[in-house]
This record gives sequence, C-alpha cells and structure tokens, in this order.
Amino acid sequence: MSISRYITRSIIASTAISMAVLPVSQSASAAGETFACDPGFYQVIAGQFAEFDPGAGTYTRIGPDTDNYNAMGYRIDATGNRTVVGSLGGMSSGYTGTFGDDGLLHVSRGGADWYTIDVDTLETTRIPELSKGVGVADITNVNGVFYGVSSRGGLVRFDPTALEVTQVGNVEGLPTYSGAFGAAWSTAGGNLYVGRNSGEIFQITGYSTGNPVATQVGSAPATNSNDGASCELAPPPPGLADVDGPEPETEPSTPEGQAAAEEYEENYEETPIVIPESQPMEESEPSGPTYEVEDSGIGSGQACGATVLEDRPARGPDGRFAVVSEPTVLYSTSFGAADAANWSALSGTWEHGDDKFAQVETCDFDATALLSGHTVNHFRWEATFSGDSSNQGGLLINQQSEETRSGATLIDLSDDGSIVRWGSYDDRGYYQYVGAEDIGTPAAGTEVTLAVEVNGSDVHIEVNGERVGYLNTKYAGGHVGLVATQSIISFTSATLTALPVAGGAS
Amino acid sequence: MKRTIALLTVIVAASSCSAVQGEQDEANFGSESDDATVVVFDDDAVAGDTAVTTVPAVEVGSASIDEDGAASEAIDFVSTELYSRSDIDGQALFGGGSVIATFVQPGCEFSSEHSDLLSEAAQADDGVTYVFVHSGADSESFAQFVTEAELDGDNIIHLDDNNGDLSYRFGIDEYPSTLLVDSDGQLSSTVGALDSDRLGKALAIVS
Repeated sequence: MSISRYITRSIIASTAISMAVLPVSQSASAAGETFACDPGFYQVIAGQFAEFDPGAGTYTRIGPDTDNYNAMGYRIDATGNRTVVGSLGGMSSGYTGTFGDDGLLHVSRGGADWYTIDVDTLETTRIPELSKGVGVADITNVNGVFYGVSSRGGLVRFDPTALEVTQVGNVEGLPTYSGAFGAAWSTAGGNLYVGRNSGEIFQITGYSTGNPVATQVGSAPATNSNDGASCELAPPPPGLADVDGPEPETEPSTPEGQAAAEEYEENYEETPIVIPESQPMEESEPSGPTYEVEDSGIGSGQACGATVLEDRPARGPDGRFAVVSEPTVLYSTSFGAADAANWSALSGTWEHGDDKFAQVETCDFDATALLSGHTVNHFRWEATFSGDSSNQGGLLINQQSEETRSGATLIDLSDDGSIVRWGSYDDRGYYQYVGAEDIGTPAAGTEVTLAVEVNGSDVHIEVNGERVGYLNTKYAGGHVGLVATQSIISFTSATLTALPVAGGAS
Repeated sequence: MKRTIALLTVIVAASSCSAVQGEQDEANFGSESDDATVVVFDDDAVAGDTAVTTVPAVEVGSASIDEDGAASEAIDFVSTELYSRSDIDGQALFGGGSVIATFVQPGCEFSSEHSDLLSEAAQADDGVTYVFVHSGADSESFAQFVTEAELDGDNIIHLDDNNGDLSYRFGIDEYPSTLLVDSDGQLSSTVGALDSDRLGKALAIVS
C-alpha cells in the first residue's frame, strides 16, 4: 500500500478491514503525529511496524509490537501507535489495500470483494468491476493505477478509473513457486517495488508492458506476516537502487505526482544494487504458564508438528575433502537395507526397505537425510526418486555437519515436481531462494533423476540428464544429502562421484 | 517371511512433521529438536521383534488443568478475533461451555480436511460454538484458509494466534489439536484431525 493523501494523513495500514464492528470510534481520526512524505519504505512484519533500511537490510522499529496489524483497519501514526479506524459496515473482510488517487482506501481480499472506503466518513462502496480474486497479497498505487503480484509471480493491474483488471503476465525473474508478495511499494518516478514474504525485495520494470521484469534490489527478514507502505511522491529510500533510472515508466497521474517526478529526475543519483544479508528482528516469545489439558479419550488423528523458528549455529571452518585425479565413485547405492547405516536423518521420517529410501512425512519442509562419511567439494551428486502423489524431492550439498544447515545448498523439486529450484541456507540457517526452472509436471510416480556437478562454488544442475540451471554458492564443500518437502518421496538410487579439480589445482 | 518393523536408530533432530508458513525456512532441524527417526523394513527379522515407536519428549506446563483453580486460570486469557481485531475474553468464550476450539495451521493438509468436517458440523448444530484458533502463519493465509473451507457462521469464531500465545498456553504442538469444553466448562483435549466418528464423540462430550 502507499502512504497517501500525502502529508496530511496518517498511514492507514489496510491489509484487511473488518466486515463487522471495529471497536473504536472515529476518535481515531485524532491520531498523533502524521507521516511526512519522506523516502521511507515501511513494513508491518509480524505485528511490528518498522522502517526498512535497504542499504543495511535492517529495520528500525516504530512503536509497540501489537501482535499483528495484518488484518485490520487501523490508523498508524508516525510514532507507530495504532488506532482502530472505526465501524465498517456492509463489506467483506479484506487484506489487500492502498489509497487511490481518488483519496479513497481501496480494499479487497486478494482482489476479490473490492471496496472503497472513505476513511473520514467510513462510507464503504463495493466495486464489482474490480472484484477479481487474483491472489495478490498487497497492492500499491503507481501513477493512479494499482499493481500487485500474485503468489505465483503474476503481475496484476487494477485500473480504478477504467474499472478494469488486467493480468499483465508473469514477471520474469521472480520465483515461480508459490509464495506471497505481502508488501508492495511505489515511489516518485513511478517505480514499483514488491517484497516477498521470504525476504527478497524486487523492483519491477516494464510493468506497463506485457513483459514485466523483476530485479532483486534488496533483502529483508523473512516473515509470515507482511505489509508494505510508502509515499508514492517520495524517491526510493537511500541505498535502494532504481534499476531503470529516474525517468517515469508511466505518466504521473496528478500534479503532485508530476512535480515529484520532476524533482526526482533533477536530484537523481545512481545507486548500485546492494543486497545486504538481512537481519531478522527479534521475535517476542510467548510467555506465561502452559496448562496441560486432560486427554478427552476419543483417540487421535493425523497432525502436523509445530513450527519452530530458530537461528542455527554458524558454519565453521571447512573440513577435509576428497581429492582425486580422475572421477572416482565414492558411494553408489540402490538402497538395500544395509545402506541404512550410511544415513543420518536430520528431519522427517526416513525408512529403508524394498530397495528404496523413503521419506514418509507429508507436512515436513526440507526433511533431510545426510550421507555420512564423505565430504567433497569437487563432485557429482545424483539421485533418482519419485513421489507417491507429489514429487518434491531433491538434493542437499555443502552441508558442513549434522549440527547446522547454515551455508548448505538445496536443489529440489517444488510445486508438485513441476519446478526445480535452488537456494541456500544463510548464515543463520534460513533458506534463501536463488533460482528456479520450470520442468513440467511429471505424472505421479514417474521417476526423476536430479544431479548436480559441483566444482567448488560452481554448481550445474541437471534434470534427467539435461542441464537446466546454474548457481554460484557462498560456501564450497561439505556433506551431501537428500531432501523431501511435504511429500512421500522414494529414492531408488544415488551416486556420489568425486571429480578432479577443474584445471588441475586442488 | 513375516515383515516386521524394527527401529534401527534414532538420530539427531527435528520433529516428525513440521508444518509451516514459508518455503523451506522453518523446518525443525539440527540438534535442538527431538525425534527424527530412521526405520528399516527388515525382511530377515525374526517374528516377535517389537515394533518401536518413538515419541517426542514434550515438556508440558507448569500447571495442570485438573488442579484446583487451574481450569479457570487456563481460560483467563485475552485473544484477538481474526477479522475485527477486537479482543476476545477467554472466560466469556469458554466459560459457558459447549465449545469445540480447534487449533489449525493453513499449511497443514490435515487442518484443511478437519476444518471441512467442522464446518459441516457447525452448519448442522448451532448449539455448539466452534472456535478456530489460527496458528503458525499470517493473517492473509488465515483469511484464505477460512474462505476456502467456508468457515462462516454465527456459531463460528476465529482467533488469530499468529504470535503463538494460545498454542503455548495450552501446550499445543501439533495441528490440528482440539480443546473440548463441556457444558460444565470442563476442558479436555484431543490431538489430530477429527473424523466423523471422533467428531461424534467430541460432540457428545461438549453437548
């Protein structure tokens, strides 16, 4: 969303507005300090309102942590204090919103059930022409038109004047597997930025064409609750690149926008793209007593375990790696029962038997089994596997030990096996997506052979013998392993081959 | 030869089933967790081998619900309604009894199936209050989850437990888990997705 009607209003963080009764009256309009239209990117992350510093990848907290703003009709003043706007009758719940040039707050549920709200009178009006459930988690006003990105990376345009919704197309450069883009910002010069909940911040150029392109320009803490706000008349925050320069991609829609664009062009200084390693904000932990409730005696059913968000130990110095003068198979298996001793299950439930090694939990992300006894930095690691219904298996490389996943790299299938993606755990053990390639959805039960050929930090990725991707890793060398995400995966073979160092050096 | 399942080894780390809100970044992992297992189907194992199941060690709380006064203390909380963001008083919500309060996560397939069943039950019986406590994700996911499961109704209340306070309070570490509040205000619990049979038993307790 954008901070709008410029200087005179406080932020209305509007990702969701109640259809029911909001408990505080319009006295909220007497909120405290208002926001200046400064070049800040604001975000609500898991209930904490904060200003983002793109140069450092850090946040400055503003105001108290109030559990979660991200389903609300609140007014947030410049000190971060929130007040409920008031009663909003007659509209559906919503979590996607921003101000339009009309001065009204536009709110929907991912595009569905679109309403406008006059935040002074609290009058709501349904806009059926814009009500399209397109799955955008946030929108922002770029020169009078709203843009949002769906969780699949599709750019959607909402024109509140023409009352048209347009699927602009998939944005090149965005992850193609599902993940919410919970924050959207716009700046002077008609720049469009979006923040993925997994932490990456992208600038989208070509949004007015049929070929939008995303460039990662920043990194923020990963979050499960995200909303963005900015002033569309301000330049990008210091430290944040504008990859296509100051000239507006689309014409400003208001005199204020025109003046802001001109000022931005006059004062523009190129900023290089710097993607700092983001620093998570401290999470507040639940506290107080825990009460043990007596079992009802009606038996139990299938369940998923609780999520634990914890930093991982940092990666230590590298160990010794296999050195060979010609390709040498270090380990090759068809997964007989005798192979069990070679594997350590770090997460999930892994079963040996019937010439397969299977991960059988269906809720786990990155269920991991690590191959013991071999550490390599020039190697080929290959495995063949299939999924009972959804093939989301893969390979792990560069894991230093059983004690931490920090610095390790994953190459795995996602989205029911239709995509191979790659990324690494950062120094705190949080996954950072790097890239992906669409490989088409295989039929259930179809085996896929996934392989990586690794020369230090250079990693080439193969699917069924065909090279499909490349990445350069921060760390080189370590253990290899197998992974499965939210699916039952049967690995039927795996081979680890040590390779000579490319060029002959060790 | 009779097949048995024998526990081969229990190695470091991680819960058996980690549901979640993001891509890949939240799985339990590493030495600080509890119960990953490797089991082996052993065709050569002799009949009579014992099937072994590992159970994660669970540290439960500082008070038991059957201690004097603990029940009323347990429901002495304030939570947040998912949409209105208004405060919901635990005593008011649970104190009157006849409540099925279920803790769900959007990312857990079992939560979805379980919620579909409860949705049907809620439409059929307005004598019971159904409380959905949404945990482990963001409010957008909660809202989408509610929409897809058609969890709307006068006798359905949604609480936002994004911060995990209520899950922590009642020691919930698997989803879905359900608290049953009978007509006298007594609490009991059950873990895992309800099926029709277990839902019937649950309704018998709370009605």
